[in-house]
Amino acid sequence: MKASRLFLACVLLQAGVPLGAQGDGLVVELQARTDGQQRTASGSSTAGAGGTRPVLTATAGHNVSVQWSIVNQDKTAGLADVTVHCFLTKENAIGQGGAPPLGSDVTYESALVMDFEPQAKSAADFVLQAPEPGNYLLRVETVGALKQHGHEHFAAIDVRVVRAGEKKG
Amino acid sequence: MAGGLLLSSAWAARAEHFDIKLLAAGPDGVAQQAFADQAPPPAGLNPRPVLKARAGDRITVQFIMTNVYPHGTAKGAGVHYYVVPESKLGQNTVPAVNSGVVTEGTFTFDLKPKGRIGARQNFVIRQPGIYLLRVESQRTQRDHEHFSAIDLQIQ
Repeated sequence: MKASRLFLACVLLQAGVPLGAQGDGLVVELQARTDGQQRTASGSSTAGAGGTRPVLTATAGHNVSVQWSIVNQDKTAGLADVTVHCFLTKENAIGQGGAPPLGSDVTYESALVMDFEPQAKSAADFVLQAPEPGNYLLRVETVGALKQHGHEHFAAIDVRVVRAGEKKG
Repeated sequence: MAGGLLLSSAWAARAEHFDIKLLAAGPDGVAQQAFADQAPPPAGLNPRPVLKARAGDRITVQFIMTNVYPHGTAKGAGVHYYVVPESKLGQNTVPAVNSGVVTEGTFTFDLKPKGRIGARQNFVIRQPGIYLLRVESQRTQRDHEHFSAIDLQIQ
């Protein structure tokens, strides 16, 4: 299996065509559910300070349902060739600063490229198996908005995976 | 001769819209890959490769779909992928995605010319049996959809 960087690069290979006026109306939402719990994160911008991430505790092997959406709420301005990148990968500690590097062992990763015309929306809904116990970062982010309006957008949730029978603190 | 023409037509139609590369790999480095097929018929025209693995093995799947249709954007298009039990290898009906689903995902987005979408995911299948791994386009505003599929034989 190719390394993660190659995977993202494969999806990013895309001819760019500007959409005209530059907007900043991207709204990102991320939700994760497992075993009766639910956590929701709303979008942040790389231009501002990151807030505390919500924490979801999951049991190894149990299903985790994830939904994300990105909407361009601007009524007149679009963003061309924005990649929506989502991943679940190990991190050293809950709440750690910065995104961990993505290796070939990433649990989940997806990317899609689209033009966010005014009011355009993209969304995903998928089921993951919680991996081996440990701390993980679930994050959805834009790639390519930076060059058009100076920053990217993201939403993130920390996922603490425990063994079956272990107390979910 | 006629069969050859039919196959050629099918290939041309496939190449017109979507390029798909689907990969499934087991823990021992054994991998199978499949490319674009089209529906109808629901199970397509091409035989599916078979990945053999053991119950409890970590299986990694990856797909990358590229829209090679050069004319216009399909708004609200979709991609659906899933792993579900099937009755036998090469089954020519597509099982319902409502029981025993190992994993499943959907994406909704505006599909532009040369637009790409991809995902990769690890999962474990704990019950031996035959499973269908399939990724398919949805709502592309054309008279057929494209998909790629691999059978998983879990022992």
